[in-house]
Amino acid sequence: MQYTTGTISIASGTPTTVTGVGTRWLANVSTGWVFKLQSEDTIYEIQTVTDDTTLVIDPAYGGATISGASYVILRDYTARYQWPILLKGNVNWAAVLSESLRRIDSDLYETPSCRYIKFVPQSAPSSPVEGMIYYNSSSQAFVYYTGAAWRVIQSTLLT
Amino acid sequence: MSQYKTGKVSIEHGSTTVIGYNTTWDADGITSGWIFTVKGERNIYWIDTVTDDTTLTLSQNYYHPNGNNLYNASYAIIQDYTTNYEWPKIANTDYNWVNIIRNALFKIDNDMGAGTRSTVTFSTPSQGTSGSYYPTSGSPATTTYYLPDSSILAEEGVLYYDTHKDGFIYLSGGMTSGGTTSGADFLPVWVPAWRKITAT
Repeated sequence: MQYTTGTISIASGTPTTVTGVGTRWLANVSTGWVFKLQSEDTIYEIQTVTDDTTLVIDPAYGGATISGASYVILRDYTARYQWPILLKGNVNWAAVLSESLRRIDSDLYETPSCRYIKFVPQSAPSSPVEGMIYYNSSSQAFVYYTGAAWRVIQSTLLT
Repeated sequence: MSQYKTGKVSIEHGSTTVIGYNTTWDADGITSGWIFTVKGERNIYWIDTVTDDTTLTLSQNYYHPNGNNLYNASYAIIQDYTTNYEWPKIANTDYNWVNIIRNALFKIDNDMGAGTRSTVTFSTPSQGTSGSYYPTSGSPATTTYYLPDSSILAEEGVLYYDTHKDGFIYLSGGMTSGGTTSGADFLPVWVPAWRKITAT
């Protein structure tokens, strides 16, 4: 579940330090998790949990001085890609879901860490573009498109 | 970023033309391809052209749930999309967010299946093991071959990077029969057949 216990204050002038009142961060939150003010849409990441009432966040806070503000720290993520998970009763759920979409978009485009890719065996796609690669089911090999022609990737039996 | 909700709209049932009241669509940078929805309705539409501050066209006909023309109604245009694949994002007070997220999931599904990627980085599996394949007849009876780590799915078309072999390896279909005999020697073709991509 999200952690929303206590309130926080942050000074103006792009600080990265968040001060808590009634917060117990050491036992409940971790580096890398999403920190968010309930009153704004910006997503911050926790850099350091200094003690129960002090956090360091990134990026720096750019708003006016606030105190007694409600905040939320997301504690639930998917295992591999660390996409925020939405649970019943979550506050600011639209921002949570949008942050998940933003991360999926980035992770899918750059594909930072995949163990393998299963290509669907098929014949040549009808509208090729340069950089396209597929697995050809009849030649049993990978084929890529140069922008002008399909090229078969050579291979040897693995020993 | 929240939805754009300035002003009101009127649309004839079955028409693509949206007329705005107190809207400044052109000046505010409303763009072709963005999602348009009417408050309290389930359908989502895509903007085809923004003619001026008070006229835009949809890429599909507008259908009112009761078949009526829409008059001076609240509406919303999604302005917030992800960077690479342009999936619609939502904010707290957005209209029709269920169908917007549903559309985003359909787009993710489609982009996962056939989407564009800039680069793909394969993580490093642990070292594979030696394994044996058994031809259905002839000799040798068994032959030892390198097999990838068991975390790699053994299905035709799977591609991965092997740190031990320093190369990309994929599983080809191989043959379903045991092999051929040439003179006294048996020339086996093993099923399945992991192949290493040759590179220069």
